[in-house]
Amino acid sequence: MDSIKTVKNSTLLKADMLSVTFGRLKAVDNIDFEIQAGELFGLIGPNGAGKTTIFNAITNTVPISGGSVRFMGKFIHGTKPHEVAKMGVVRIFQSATIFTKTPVLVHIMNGLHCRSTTTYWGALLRTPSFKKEEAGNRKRARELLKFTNLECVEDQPAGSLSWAQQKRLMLATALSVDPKLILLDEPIAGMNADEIAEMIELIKTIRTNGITTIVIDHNMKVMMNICDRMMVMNFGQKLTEGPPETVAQDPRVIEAYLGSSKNDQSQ
Amino acid sequence: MQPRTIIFLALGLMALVIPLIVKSNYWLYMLTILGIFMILVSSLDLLYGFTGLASLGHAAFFGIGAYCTALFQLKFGFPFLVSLIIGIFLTTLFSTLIGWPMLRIRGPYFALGTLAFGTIITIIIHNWDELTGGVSLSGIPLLPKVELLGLSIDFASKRSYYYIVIFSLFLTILIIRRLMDSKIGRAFESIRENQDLAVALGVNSLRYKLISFATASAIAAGAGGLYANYMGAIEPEIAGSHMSFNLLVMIVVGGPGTITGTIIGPLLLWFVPEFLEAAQAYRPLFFGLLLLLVIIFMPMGIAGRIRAIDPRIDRWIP
Repeated sequence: MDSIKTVKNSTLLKADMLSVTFGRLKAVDNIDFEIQAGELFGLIGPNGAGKTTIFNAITNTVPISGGSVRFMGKFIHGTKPHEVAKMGVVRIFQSATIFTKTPVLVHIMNGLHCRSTTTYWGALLRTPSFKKEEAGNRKRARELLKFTNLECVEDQPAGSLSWAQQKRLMLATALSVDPKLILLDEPIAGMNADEIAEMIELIKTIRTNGITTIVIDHNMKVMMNICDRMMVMNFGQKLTEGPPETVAQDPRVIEAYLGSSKNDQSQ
Repeated sequence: MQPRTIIFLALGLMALVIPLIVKSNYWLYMLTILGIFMILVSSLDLLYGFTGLASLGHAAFFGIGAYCTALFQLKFGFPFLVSLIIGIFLTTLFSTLIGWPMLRIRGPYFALGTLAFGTIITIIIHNWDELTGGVSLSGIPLLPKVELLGLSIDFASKRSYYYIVIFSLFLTILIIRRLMDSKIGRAFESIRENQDLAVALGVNSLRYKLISFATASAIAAGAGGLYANYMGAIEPEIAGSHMSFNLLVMIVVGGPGTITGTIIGPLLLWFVPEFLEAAQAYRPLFFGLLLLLVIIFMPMGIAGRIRAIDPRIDRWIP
């Protein structure tokens, strides 16, 4: 636990006056935020607030129109999207975006891609170093299979899994990249209570293992429970930021979620 | 040993003993061309079945390989094997240069781009008479007799050429299998399944598409070289869009991403019509009808349909 504390209080991700515009729409409007290493950071706000666009900006899959994002001091824009993953930033997409035909174990091994050093000729000639690495990859994939409780479906194509299993498979695949920062876009949407509890346990364990996490979700109860800090967005702007208790009391947040209370007062 | 491997090895063994039973030169000729087609179709399958890139210009690389191999023998008097290797090397280089801009475009645009590329290559071969002989390039030398350890092997004979082709086919399948069972093949499949997710997991999509494209082109060029020396004469049409289209139909009908598919496709769409001499005129109709039926009733191709019957059958279909 000491090691986790030492990595804490160092900035892992920093956004400065970040803006993303689509035509005239300001999807993300001049937002600043900082995420500390080891933190579990929540991103909440109504639909269309710009939460997923922030993930897109962090992974550099959408062009930034202003400001910057820095990961471990390095500017994200200017690096290619696949290099962002290699730097240690992995995301899980909102809908269960998976490789549907790929068997579960191989699916997880896909995430080990950028940590493998296999060469073309190594694969063709089956060199000892290739065999060793493949065995290592298989072992690691099995560990993650166990961690996400998917051992029973190891050989099945990913598309045949249940919704919750697919979400867990994506989590395992993302973890196999050995990320420093993991971005979860609605990890518990569409799940029943048991499945939600299982996913929350996984997210908590990931945090205990020292992986910084940013979560987007609409389930306020869960978000309040798991997040260290959270940021509330509305119409591309930051409403407020802070520990869950403070955020929940903020009148602007209540207004954004429950509609304008000013109208009620004036009536 | 996996059931699929057993079947694969059994098929390989069958291919090896066929010439001991089949004595007719005509049949050996047919089987040899079939083998060359299988190499070619396997290479396109790496691109289409495994990486998800529908190329409508794959025959161009077959043609470039065939012409390079033939011309290095005819113009410079190089031996066959040297010419073949130069042909494969030049085609790979060329495909990388073409793939670099082309593989950035996705879906139908890639298909159209490769279609245009194939047409351009055919026109160039057609019109560069002094080098390519225009409508036909003939006089490609036969392979020599080789004295090895007191044994005299006549590589020009139908039977030895058959074995050369079978060996090449085996090598092709081995290369593709080994690539697919590695980080490289997994990257190919991840791009086919969902490119955005593959990139999010750190796969350099352009790089791996290029690797797939160049490998497929190299194998196609090898098949082209084998074809040129077997036929003794080649025409620009072997690089054309019609040929490319037929290759793609063979995979779609046979079953993408399976060894069985690369056997069924050429067998059904080249071997059978070629054999049924009378059906020549109706071949396009046969192609069209078969393609239509397969797309509607077997979207995974014939091999894919057989696999889907039952998991127990699936394990036995390579």
